Amino acid sequence: MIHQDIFATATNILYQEYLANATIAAPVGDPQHVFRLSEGPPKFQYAVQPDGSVPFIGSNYTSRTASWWDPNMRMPYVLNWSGGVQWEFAHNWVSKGSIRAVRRGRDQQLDMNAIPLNISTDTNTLNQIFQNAQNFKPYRQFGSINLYSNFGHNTYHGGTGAWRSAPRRG
Amino acid sequence: MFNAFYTWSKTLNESEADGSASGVTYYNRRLEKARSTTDIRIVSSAS
Repeated sequence: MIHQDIFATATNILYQEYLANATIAAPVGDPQHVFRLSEGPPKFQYAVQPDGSVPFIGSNYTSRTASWWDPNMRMPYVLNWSGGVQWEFAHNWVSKGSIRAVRRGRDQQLDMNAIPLNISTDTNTLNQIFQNAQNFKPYRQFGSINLYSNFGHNTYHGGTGAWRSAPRRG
Repeated sequence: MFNAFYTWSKTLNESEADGSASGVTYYNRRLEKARSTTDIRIVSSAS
């Protein structure tokens, strides 16, 4: 049985999609069938909370992933700067200098449901967290939450010097 | 005819991937900033 909900908390931003699966099976060793195909599966009741959410049933939160789009995400971009000079420092000899700088911003996804690095310095506390990391995640009811945002920046800086002798006239 | 070239460059980034990025944490991406795998510091040639 599959139940699907799509929530939009505001116009054009932050769509959250939840898929709830329920497996209906007879207990092991019970020879009775669970339901007849002609009748379909029995009605499944979700414990819907007043705010519209449904508590997660089960213990394997890590498989419960979600995606989150940064509403302020910009398009990827590339900025270029370059310049150069050329100088004939001696007869038939030329030197050139050029510089180039590039900055690139990308859109990447990252798991934002990560335990902060500075969560504690106490060994006992850290051991507790290590034993049950899920309970210390910012959103305990989720596994990884992929945040799509303007992560990922590259910079390139380079300079080239060139020296060449021009061909001499015959 | 003589040609000589000398290029110095430096490439920094936080993650190589274009899609999903990885790392220690998303809280402070500067921790991931380092020389890229495509970083080539010096290239020179002469002919």
